[in-house]
Amino acid sequence: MGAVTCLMVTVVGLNAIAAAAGLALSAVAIWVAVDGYKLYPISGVSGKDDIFAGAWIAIFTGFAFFLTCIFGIFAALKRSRALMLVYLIIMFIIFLFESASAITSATNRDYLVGNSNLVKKQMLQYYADSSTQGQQITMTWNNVMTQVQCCGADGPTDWIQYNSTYRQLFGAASLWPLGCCKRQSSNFEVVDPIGCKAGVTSSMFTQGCFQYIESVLSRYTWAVSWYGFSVLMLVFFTLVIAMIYYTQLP
Amino acid sequence: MPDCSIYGNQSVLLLYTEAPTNLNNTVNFTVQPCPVSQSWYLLGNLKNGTTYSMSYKIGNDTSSVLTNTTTNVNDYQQIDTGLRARSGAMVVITVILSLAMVFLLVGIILVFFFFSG
Repeated sequence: MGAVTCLMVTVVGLNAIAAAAGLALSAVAIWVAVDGYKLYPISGVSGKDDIFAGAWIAIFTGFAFFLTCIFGIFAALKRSRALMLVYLIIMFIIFLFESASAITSATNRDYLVGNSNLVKKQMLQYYADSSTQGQQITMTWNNVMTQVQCCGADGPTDWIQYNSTYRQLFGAASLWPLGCCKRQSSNFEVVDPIGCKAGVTSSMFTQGCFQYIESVLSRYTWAVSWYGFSVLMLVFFTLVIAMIYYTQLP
Repeated sequence: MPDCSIYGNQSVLLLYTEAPTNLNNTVNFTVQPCPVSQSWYLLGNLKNGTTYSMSYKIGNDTSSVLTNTTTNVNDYQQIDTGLRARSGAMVVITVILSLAMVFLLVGIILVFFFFSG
């Protein structure tokens, strides 16, 4: 009887921790889904937005882990075989969904920001385009260029080395968008519009924006995928102990 | 740009030759007096992927010849956006989670069918 009680206490304890971890996963996934850095159009327009789809799944699976683990505590305390079996099966199903979320988030991140090609091509194709996607991409890039003080994906030379929608529309006036020019901090006017057009390095931003975009999307992915993975490892361990407990019940 | 202390306020002829057609072009501008606020001149309307030889001529003085090539413009559609490489994180997560799913499934089946208390 002592061994079974010991197992029961372990199962109850692990379930309590897993419930808290599941609730935290749900909260972190909500943070990702809200997209505070406003970079969703970059993944949305490319059609590879599974980082955010994974976050939505994680919101529901995190909360489902929370509820099912509380049910598991109840089932363990009641020492009921039937309830423990129901608990194991439901936990396994939620485990499958959360695994899918973690794996697709990690894979999609590799597609999007493994190297700068996709972001660069999207910028050249859609910046200043008048379609809906073009407007979204233009707004996103304008925000990024102003906030992070950068130009182009790898640098301003992206605008020179490749043709682009922007160049077709405005190439005669300037080689790169006005967002690449340094602005005064007081009234937000461009410091040197003629110098910026000519490419004087002191009047424009010379670093690329890809590093910032990559770091934000990676941050989202690690929140959903690595944290989801660690919750799943805890749940795996809990389920193994719960299965052993189930075999010891009369 | 020509030195402002020697050539300030003088008119400069910028001669640029396109290779290999050897088409000559000239542009006139005035050297700014010291102190200079704009230390560059923007030469516009050049063809891409072409080599140009440039030199200044002020009065009887001619500068040495500078040769440079304009960049070639690539089509952005040519940029390859295929999956370059899988990151280590993605491989680890996929492999370990797949193994965990299989172990759990096998475990639940074993426990349900073979351990009846």
